[in-house]
Amino acid sequence: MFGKNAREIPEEKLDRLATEIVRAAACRGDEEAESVASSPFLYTRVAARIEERRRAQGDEGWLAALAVAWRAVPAMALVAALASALLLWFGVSGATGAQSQSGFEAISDTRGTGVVSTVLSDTGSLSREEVLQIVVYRDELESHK
Amino acid sequence: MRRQKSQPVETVDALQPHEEESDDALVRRVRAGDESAFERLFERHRARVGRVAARFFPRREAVEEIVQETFVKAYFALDTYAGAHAASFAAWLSQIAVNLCYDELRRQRRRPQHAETNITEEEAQQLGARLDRALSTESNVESDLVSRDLAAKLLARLDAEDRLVLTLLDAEGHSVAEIAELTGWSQSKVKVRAHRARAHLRRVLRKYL
Repeated sequence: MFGKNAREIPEEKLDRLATEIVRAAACRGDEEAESVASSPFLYTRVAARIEERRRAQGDEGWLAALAVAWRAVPAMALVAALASALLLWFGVSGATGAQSQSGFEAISDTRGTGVVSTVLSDTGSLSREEVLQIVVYRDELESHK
Repeated sequence: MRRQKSQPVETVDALQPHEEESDDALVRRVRAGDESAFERLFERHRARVGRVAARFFPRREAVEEIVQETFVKAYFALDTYAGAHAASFAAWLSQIAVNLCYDELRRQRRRPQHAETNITEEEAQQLGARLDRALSTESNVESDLVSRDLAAKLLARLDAEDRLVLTLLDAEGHSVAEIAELTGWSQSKVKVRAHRARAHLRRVLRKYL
């Protein structure tokens, strides 16, 4: 189909044809340019485009700030998580430390006549109310029998 | 449209009446916040920018797009234009226009419809007949026109850089030094590109002859 005469064509002739082709592609250039130049609203469109781009640049400032904030969210979340973990860790270990330091707490009873009875009671053990409840419950069971 | 810098404009106005104002003076006024000066620059140079764009693109819309975008880019880059620079305002504007044309050529090469520019056998015969006339006579080959559509289809087979260099050399008649200044390439790159572009176009032509 194509390319049958290709080998016999001298380069010089091909170059001349190539030049002609390049010029042919651009030959209506001046006409196009003149018609574009005579377009009455061209500057209005340029001005509108400038305004639009300026506005976009203004919006870009906000968008850039939002983008920075958005990028900071994971870092801030990580810091918050670390802070919470540390708070929990020290809170728990602090509480257990305090408990282990004084495994017993002093229960003061000032109801006696000038006598302060101090009972050392293990904090893990039953309270007085619970002991009373158990005693009462046991008495009730025995009375039923 | 309003420029953010606002300095007194009256001093420049008083010194130079509008009719005699140079491009550099108008640029100074635009920088000072006078938008009408930019409109004057536009009126003065739009035909030149249009001519540059029309060398590369046959469609009116494409030419208009390049013209508009050139002036928009120029407006936002006015602070980088130094009046005392070796390039005049016109040359500076042409640089922007040529670079935009180059970008558009590259975009066109990437578009899928680019592949649709097939050359028919009839068009190949037209090309062959044209070459036969050139071979048989020593007449001025350039006086007879290859159809613009066919020329555009053939050039569409070239890389954007090849097409840019050939158009600037053969259609615009620029020298290597001028093309180097317009494109920002070195002169040796322009020469190498031109050599390769010619070889590429010869290969394309051989394929269809």
